[in-house]
Amino acid sequence: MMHDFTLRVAGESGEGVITVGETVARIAAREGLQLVTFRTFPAEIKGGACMMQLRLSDQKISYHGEKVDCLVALNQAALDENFPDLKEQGVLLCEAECDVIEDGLSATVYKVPFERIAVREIGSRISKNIVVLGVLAELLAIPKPRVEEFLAEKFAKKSEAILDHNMQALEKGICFARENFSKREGFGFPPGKPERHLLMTGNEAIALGSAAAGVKCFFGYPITPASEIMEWLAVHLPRMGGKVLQTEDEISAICAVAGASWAGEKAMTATSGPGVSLMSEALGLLSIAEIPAVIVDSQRGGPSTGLPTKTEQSDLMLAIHGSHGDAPRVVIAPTSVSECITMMGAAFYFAEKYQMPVIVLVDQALSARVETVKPGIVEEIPKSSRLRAQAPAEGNFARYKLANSPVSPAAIPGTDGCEHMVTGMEHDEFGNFACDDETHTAMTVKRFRKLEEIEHDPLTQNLCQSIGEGRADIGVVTWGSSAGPVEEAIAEARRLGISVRGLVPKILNPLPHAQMKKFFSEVNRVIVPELNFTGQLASQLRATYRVPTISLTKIKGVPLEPSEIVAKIIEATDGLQQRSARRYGRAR
Amino acid sequence: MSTAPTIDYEKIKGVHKIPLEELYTSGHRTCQGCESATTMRGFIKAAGSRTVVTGATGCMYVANTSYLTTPWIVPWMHTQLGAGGSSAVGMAAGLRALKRKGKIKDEKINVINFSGDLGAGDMGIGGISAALQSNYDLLIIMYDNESAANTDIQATGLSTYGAQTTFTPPGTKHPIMQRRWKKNVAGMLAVGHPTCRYVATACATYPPTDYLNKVRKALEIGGPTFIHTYDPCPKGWDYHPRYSNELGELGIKCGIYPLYEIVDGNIIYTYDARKTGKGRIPVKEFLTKQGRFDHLLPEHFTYIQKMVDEMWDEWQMPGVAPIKGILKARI
Repeated sequence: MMHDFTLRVAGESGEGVITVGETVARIAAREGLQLVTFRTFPAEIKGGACMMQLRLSDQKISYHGEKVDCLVALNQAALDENFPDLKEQGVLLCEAECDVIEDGLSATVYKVPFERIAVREIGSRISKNIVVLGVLAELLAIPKPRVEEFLAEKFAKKSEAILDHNMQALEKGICFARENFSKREGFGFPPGKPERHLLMTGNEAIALGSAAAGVKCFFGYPITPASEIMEWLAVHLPRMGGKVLQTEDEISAICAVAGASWAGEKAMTATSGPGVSLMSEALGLLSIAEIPAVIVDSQRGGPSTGLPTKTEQSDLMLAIHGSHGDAPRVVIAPTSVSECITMMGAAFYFAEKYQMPVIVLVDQALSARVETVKPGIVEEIPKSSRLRAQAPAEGNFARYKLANSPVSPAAIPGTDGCEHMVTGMEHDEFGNFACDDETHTAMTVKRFRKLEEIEHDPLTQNLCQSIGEGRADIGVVTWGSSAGPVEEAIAEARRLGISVRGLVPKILNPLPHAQMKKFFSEVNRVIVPELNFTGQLASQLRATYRVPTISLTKIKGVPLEPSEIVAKIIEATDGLQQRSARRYGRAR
Repeated sequence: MSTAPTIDYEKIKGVHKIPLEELYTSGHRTCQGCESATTMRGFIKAAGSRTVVTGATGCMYVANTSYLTTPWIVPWMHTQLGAGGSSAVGMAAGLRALKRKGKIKDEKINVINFSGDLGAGDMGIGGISAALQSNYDLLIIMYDNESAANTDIQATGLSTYGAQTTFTPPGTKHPIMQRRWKKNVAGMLAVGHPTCRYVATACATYPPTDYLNKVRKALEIGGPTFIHTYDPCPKGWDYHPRYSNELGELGIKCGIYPLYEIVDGNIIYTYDARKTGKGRIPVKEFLTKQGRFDHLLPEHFTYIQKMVDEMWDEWQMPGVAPIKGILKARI
């Protein structure tokens, strides 16, 4: 049987909500459990409502859970907002002063005066979160030595007194819970496994993945929610012999990437939607000059500043089409934190092998969520290298040679005998400016043929995940971080007896046509759930495959929930039955 | 130059004479001890209600518009990160056109843009430069808290040398990761725009009323004008919020942040840090009060002190242009 437990901690930002969540997450990872988390951020600098949700399991999970088993609410506002998400038989742990309407309530309510314990018995308001942790440790059967071990590590660099203080707070919390509440059997932490997992956020995974893929130059500009990528690389990349440079804006960042990459190094930048908007012109330069580059776009609610701390998947069209002219680029979208690592390898593989820009689409929810990752995953990263040029025996070096392969050997500037021009203007084989129609056509075809080659690349074949096999009534296609809830929804719909399967393309430009076409021929109706208003993947599918699609869109700044997708699947099934009834008469 | 009507402001002599009317009120969520909020509150008090404000993205934009609320009583508009100067030009041009066509009363309406050090000093400097070459009445205030504070304290081109930020984390092997010396934005703009009649540097709380009078002077003189304010930030500079005002004062007294105004090409030092001793205190007194410099070693303090001393003692125009002398032409 699968053990599954969901915990949510909610309160005011700065109250230590995230510390509680992260501590539980780290202990769980050490206990050998798998976990996915989700957290919201206020857009304020300090204060504002925030919450962290963790789902623990002894098996692989890809979604942070819809309803929670245990809710910890540190103030009334947090309680009111999060209470509807508590399971019927769940446990509510709240500050003693909160009002809970207990009539007809089937959930267990525990009221704890967290603040009073922290202030009166420990003597500091800041220890409140550790008291919460103590109560949780007792209620959820979190092994106490583990918590102590963790606190000792966390406060190792602080003074002895601070550690003592926190240990006391933990003890008070445990004692309070032991004296006042009865523990529920089998509730809380699933039993651990003798294996250990790494715990990291999507942004850390992206940074780690790119470092493992051999990135040597990173240029960036701070932007929520992608800043942590640069923050991680600023610490670690110099040790690996790389360079991190903060530029004065995103235009400089991408142009610096172009420079570093042209000079022969693997280079990348990371930004969010507003940054990609600024980079659009340079994307065209990278395409026409055939320079490899990796751009990470951690999407947030838009347009303009939009919802800077909330998630959305609304940059797909920008990623595929942004920039003027016909400027091909590769767009890939990882679906989980583990994939953030391996897909960064894929990004550099495509960029270096095909000499073109690659955009990695993640979103705020994926960037910020903490997930368990199996150790040694960096071994799975594909190796990447650029086709290097040899000086020609005679004549000039043709950097953009029109040959069978659309990829021409590249030369590091300054290589003897390989002198060539790199320009944003349309050029002939040698890089000389040429604006005649023949050259423009031939060169545009050359650049777009790369996409065809990528479609048949062995690596691309692995970049499409199929959920279920064979014929089905309903097919669900989605991308990016929405894959987690879709997977859960499909499992749930199957339990309800609906014939449904799913497909998650992880490469969105070019689309994996063979798998897509096969999928569309095997399903009757296609639902496309995604986090944007216009149904961007759905319109892309309609335009490419001429399949009718049912869009399920959401722009609430939070990820899709499995129940929403299940409802849509049921709605589509009803539609199918009605259609067959119209055509063949009602079943009697 | 434009012949637009002007407002005659009175010089504020002493804190008791500061206008009581609040045009930047409650409804913001800035941190405790936020000096930039004082800067906002100050300039709008000085400018008065006939003012339109535009703000580029930055912590003061995020904190001033959360939960669908805003502290601004005057009309206010948000603009993109690097668009501080251009938004002010657009606003001023629009108002001028409306006045010329007789759609609105021909009176002086102040256009003020506030941008952070990242928005104005790094990304938007091109737009501000263009605005200072225009002939519109506008004032650009760059509030400088030496970091990108809305995205969790990243370094900018205006961060002090050696400061710890999330993009410049110090380690034992390389204690100095912020290796760039602070960009001299006010000096650069003053030197590069001969027709701009007023450029000043200020601090919201020290010397008292100095900043407010500088805002009034800028608006009175008219045309495109620029003020750079120095805003200690408890979160980014890592100190207790109660010391915000004190740190601003120390920054000026130690000479790391020169205080001056340039009116029609004449420079007036509003705090004279040219002489050491009573005039200029050691830089260390300012740096050691902040957590972001905790990792500095004695040689770093010496280096920073040397650079500051050089600015005051050797530059021909301290704080404005790093020109030490005129050599004879070698032709």
